Amino acid sequence: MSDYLPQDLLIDILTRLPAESLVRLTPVCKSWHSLITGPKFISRHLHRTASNPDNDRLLVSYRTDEPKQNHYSLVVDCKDSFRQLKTLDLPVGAFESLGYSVVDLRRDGGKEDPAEGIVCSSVAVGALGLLEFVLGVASAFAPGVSRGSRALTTVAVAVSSPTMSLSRHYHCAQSFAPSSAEVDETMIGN
Amino acid sequence: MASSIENNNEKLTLKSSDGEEFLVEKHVALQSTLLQNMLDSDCSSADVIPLPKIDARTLALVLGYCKKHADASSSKQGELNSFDSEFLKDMDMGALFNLVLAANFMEIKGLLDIAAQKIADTIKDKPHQEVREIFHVENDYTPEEEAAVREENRWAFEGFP
Repeated sequence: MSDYLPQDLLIDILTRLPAESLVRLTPVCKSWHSLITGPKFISRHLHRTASNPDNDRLLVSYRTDEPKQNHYSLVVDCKDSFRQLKTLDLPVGAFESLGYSVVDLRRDGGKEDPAEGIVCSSVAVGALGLLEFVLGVASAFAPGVSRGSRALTTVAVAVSSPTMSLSRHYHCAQSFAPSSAEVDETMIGN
Repeated sequence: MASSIENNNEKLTLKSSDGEEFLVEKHVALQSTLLQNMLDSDCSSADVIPLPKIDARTLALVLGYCKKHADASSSKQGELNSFDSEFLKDMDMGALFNLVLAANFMEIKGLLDIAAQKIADTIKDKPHQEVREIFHVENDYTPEEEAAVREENRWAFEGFP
């Protein structure tokens, strides 16, 4: 870590960066890596970016491309595009057990959707624990996909930092979840 | 009567780390929560206030910011905003870091905010090697480890060295 700046000032500066820049700064040094991917930083970054609608966010989503096959993905919402960070194999229901609701947008027939199922974004700012699902994002992610026209089963949790594992992410989600839902981290760990 | 005029024109003397003294009007000094608290507790009367962590060049900048904001408190916010961006416009990173440290120490929230944001805006699109130098961070990764961290998030490095 640099002794150039006190830690609190460093955090103040870094929480102002968009998620994509933070991902790119994880190789600066080991302490930056653990700082940026740590739960406290994630939470602070989330609070700062949540109050600024222009900022990007990270999303976690899970989709059903085929029946009984679920995936969670970490995705960066870059406003004009979405970047997939990582796909996580998780048990079905991992998010439900956290107290998040699942939005089912399954198209008639329930066929696999090649456009992939990132639908949701955004946290309802100020309403702890409430996730606001913004369906319009679907059309941004996959041009031509309009609301309700595709088969998507998605749950998304907005997080704000380049977290590389869901267990790290989970700490952040926890700060937004009023429910007392407990998640066994070993269960959802990657 | 005389005393109230005196009070209105009360000035403080601040001393930088390199020994330069600055005479500051009280209403300008009040932009700093640190100085405000000192004035409230009346511990500074007529004495020179040393600021051992802030050099003269930085202190002059800080006081320029404080004066503008103190004098303009009733004027339009837009004018202050353009002053702020002009104020930081051509500042190098070293000066910005000094400014952030000074604003943090003197508790000048507005200045801390714009200087920290300016640093963030400047490093936002810079490669991590350059950010490492800017922040004087020592790289403790082995080349293999660093490559592995990059590989985890290859997409973020498209177009970056």
